[in-house]
Amino acid sequence: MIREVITANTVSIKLGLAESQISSVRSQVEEETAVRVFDGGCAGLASAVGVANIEDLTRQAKAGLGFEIAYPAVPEKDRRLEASHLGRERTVDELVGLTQSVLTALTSAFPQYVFSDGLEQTRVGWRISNDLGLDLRYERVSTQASFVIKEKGSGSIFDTFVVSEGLDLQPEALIESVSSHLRAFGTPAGEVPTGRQRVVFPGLEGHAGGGILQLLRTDMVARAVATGSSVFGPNLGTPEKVFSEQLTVHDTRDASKWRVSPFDMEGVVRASPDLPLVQDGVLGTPVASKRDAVRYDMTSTGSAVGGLAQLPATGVGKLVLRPTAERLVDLLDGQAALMPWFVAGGDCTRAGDLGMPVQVLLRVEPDGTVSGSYPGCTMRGNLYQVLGEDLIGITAERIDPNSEEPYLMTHMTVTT
Amino acid sequence: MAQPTLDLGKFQVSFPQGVYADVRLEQTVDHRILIRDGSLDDVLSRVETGALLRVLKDGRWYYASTTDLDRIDAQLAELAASDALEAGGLQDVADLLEVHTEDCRIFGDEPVDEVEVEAKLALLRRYTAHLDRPDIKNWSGHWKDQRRERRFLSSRGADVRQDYQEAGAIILFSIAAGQESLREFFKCADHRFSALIEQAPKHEKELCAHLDKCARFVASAEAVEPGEYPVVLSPRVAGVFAHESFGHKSEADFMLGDPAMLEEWKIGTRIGPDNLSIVDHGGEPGSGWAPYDDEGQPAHKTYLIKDGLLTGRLHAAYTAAALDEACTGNARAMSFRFEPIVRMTTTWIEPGDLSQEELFSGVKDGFFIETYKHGSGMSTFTIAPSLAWRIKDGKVTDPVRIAVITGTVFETMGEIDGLSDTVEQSFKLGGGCGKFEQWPLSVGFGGPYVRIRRMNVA
Repeated sequence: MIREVITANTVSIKLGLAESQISSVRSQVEEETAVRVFDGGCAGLASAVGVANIEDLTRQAKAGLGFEIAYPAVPEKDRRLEASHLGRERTVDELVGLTQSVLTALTSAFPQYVFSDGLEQTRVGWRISNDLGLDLRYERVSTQASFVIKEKGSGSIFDTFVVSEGLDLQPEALIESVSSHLRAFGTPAGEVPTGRQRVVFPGLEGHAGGGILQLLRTDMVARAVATGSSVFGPNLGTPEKVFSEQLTVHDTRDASKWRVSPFDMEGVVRASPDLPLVQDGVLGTPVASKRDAVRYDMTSTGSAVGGLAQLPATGVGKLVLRPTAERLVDLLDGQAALMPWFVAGGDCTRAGDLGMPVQVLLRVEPDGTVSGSYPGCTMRGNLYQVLGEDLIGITAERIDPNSEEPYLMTHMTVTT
Repeated sequence: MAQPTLDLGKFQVSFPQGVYADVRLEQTVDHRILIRDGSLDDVLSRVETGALLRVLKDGRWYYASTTDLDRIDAQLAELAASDALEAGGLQDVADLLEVHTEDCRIFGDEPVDEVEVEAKLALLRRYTAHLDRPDIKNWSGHWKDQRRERRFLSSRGADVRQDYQEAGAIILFSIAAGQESLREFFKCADHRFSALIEQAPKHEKELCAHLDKCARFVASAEAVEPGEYPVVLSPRVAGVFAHESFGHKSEADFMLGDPAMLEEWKIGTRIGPDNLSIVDHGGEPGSGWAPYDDEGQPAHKTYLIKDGLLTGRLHAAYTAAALDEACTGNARAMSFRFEPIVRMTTTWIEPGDLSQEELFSGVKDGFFIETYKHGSGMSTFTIAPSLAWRIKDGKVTDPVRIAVITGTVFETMGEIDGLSDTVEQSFKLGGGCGKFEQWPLSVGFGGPYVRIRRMNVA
C-alpha cells in the first residue's frame, strides 16, 4: 500500500466595503488534510477540515479501499520540489491604509458612484507527499481588490466592476485602473454600432470572455475525446486548421512565467510545462490525468485537478494564448473598436454558436484607451469564425499591470 | 468511512464585555459518490467543523472564521480589542436583533449521514442502469448528501440551533445523434433518504422519459433566427427568472448609500401586471429551508411583489437598520468561513389562473424554454437554455438550439401576460446561488408556467 498525504493551508484577511467605506475586517485561518491510499490498482481517500489526525484519516482511507475504486495509475515518486509566488504581505493596518487611500481618491473623484465588495489578501499553500519520496510544495501570497460599483439612482443592483489581483497591489495603479474605467463608463458614447464590428476582449477567462474558451475546456479532456462526445473529435490528430493559424493556446504549468503551481494534483511535473491545445490553428493534445490516461489508453499530460476532498480528475488548467502583437494599439491599426467589459451569462452551443448579452460595453479609441460607454447589446458569432477567419490578434500587453490576461481582438455581430 | 462528529450543544462561549458579539458554530457532514461510465470513480466522506465569530465595535464589524474551536473565547477577546477601523456606520444595529432561544432541528429522525454508503450507492445504480443505451456517449452519476447543523449564540443570550439536510442524485450525460451532441442532466433530491427510496420508481420513469426527449432534441434541433419572440418559461426556468431578475434586486444591501434608488424603489411602485406576485420565505420546505437566518432572526414570508406592486425587500440587520425597516430573516452565509450577507431563501412566483393549455394557446409563433444551463442578472438578465422548443399556433412542436434569452428586468416584468395555475418548486441539490465571494448557497425557487409577450432570443 502506498500512502499520499495532501495538505492545504489558507490564511486570509478581507476588508469588506459597504457604502464606499471599509465596514468590516475578517480574518480566516483554515487547514485541510487528505490521505489517499493506493493498493492493488484501487484507491481510498479521506479528508478533514481543521485539526486532523493523519493516522485516523489513513484508517478511513484504507476502509475506502473496500469500495474497489479503480485507480490503476502508479503514484509519482522520488521528486522534491518547492515553488512559490510570494507577493507582498501586509498587516491589517497596512491593508486598511491601502484601501482607505484608494477609496478616498475614488469617492472624491467619482461621488456619483457607490463602491462595495472589498480587498482580500490570501496566503495559500499546498503540499503533496508520499511513501515513494514525493514531496512537492507550492505557496502563493496575493491580494485581490474587487470594486463592485453602482451608480447612484441607476436602479441596478450594480452597474459595473473592476477587479485586480496581483502579488503587490499599488494604490496609484489601482486608482488609475478604476478611474480610467469609470471615466469611460460615465461618458456616453452614443448609439451602439450594430452589424459586424471589431471587438476587443479584455481577457478570455471570467466575465468578459463570455465563454469563448468554454468548448476547449469541456471537449479537450480525455473522457470526452475517448467516448466520442467531443465536438473536436473528427479534427483531433489531423493537420486541419480548425482555427486561425494565428491561434495558439497552451495549458501551462510554467511557474517561472505565470502564477501557477508547477505540479498537478497527482503530483506530476510536466517535462515541458506548456501543453498545446491549439497550435497554429491545429488542435493539439487532449488533456489526461494519469488515471484517465490508463483508463482511456491515452498519454498522461499532467492534468489532474480538483480539491483535496476528491480523487483527482482530468481538467484543463491555466490557458495562455500566444501573442501576435505587442500592444493593443498595434491590433487596432488606427481604428476604434468595441470592448465588452461585462458579459452576463454568455454561452456557447455545442455547434459553437456564441451568444453574449453585453451589459457593460466600452468604446476603445485607436490609441488603445477606453473613452466612453454604449448601452448594452447582444454579440453573436460562431466560435470557429471568432477564433478563425475573424480573429485579428492577441496582445502581449496585459489588460492591467497585475493581470496575466491579454487582449484578444476579433469580429462579432452586434445587435441591440 | 464514518468520521467522528462533535456535539455543538456542548460548547460554552465567554463573550467579551462592552460590545455586541455572536458566534455561529457549524458542522457539516458530506458524502459524495461518483460513477462514471459504469465505473465507481470516487466515494468520499467529509466532516467540516468551524465557527464564524463577529464583534460589533464602534459601528464596525470584526469577523474571524476558524476551525480551531478551542480558541473561540480568545479570538473573541482579540476581536473586541481590535481598533483597525475608524468608528462609523450604524451604532445601533444590534438593537434590531431579536433574541431567540430555540432548538428547531427537524431532521434528527433520519440523519442522512447515518445511512450506509452502500445503500446510497445502490440507489444511484438504480438510476444509472438506465443510461446503458447506444446514443449516450458518456455519463456520470453523482450522489450528494449533506447534513448541516448550526448553533447561533450571542452576547445578548440568543441560542438557536437548526439543521438542514439534503440528498439526491444528479445524472450528467452526453447524448448524440450523428455529429450532433447535447449535454444534459437529470436530478432528483429530497430532505430524507426514505423519501428518495419511496419515489425511486417515479424518478426512474422520469429519467427515462427525459432521456428519450433529449434524444429527440439532439436528432432534430435547429438554430433559431435571432430576434424578439413570445416565450413561455417552464416552472423551473420561471423560478430562475424570479430569482435572477427580481430576487437579487430585492436584496437591500444593493440600495445602501443611494437615496435616489430608494425613491425609485418606493414601496407601492408598480412593477408588473396585477396578477404577478413574488415571495421569499425561509420557512418553506426545500433547498431554501432556513427557519432562522445566520443572525438568529426568524424567517418571514416576504412579498417582494404583490399584485404587481413593489411590496417588500430582503434584509440583514445592517440593511434593516440603514433603511429603518425590520429584519426579514435573510442574513445568510454559505458556511462558517463567511459573514452573513443579504441572501434569498426560497423564492417563487405565485400562481395565476390559466390552465397550462390556455397559456400555450396564446402563443402563435414563439418558444418554450424547458430547461436551462445557467442564469444571471443585473439590469438585464440572461438565461442560457438547454432544452427549448418552438411553439406554433399554441402547440409545442420542434426542438430549437438557443444560446441565450435576455431581457431588461423591468420591461420583461411588464411583458408577462399569463401565469398558469400551479406552482412547481425545484430542489437545488448542492446549492446554486452566488453573490460576491459566497457560492453556492442553498436556495430554492419555482413558479408556474410564465408567458412573456416578447423576449430577445439569440
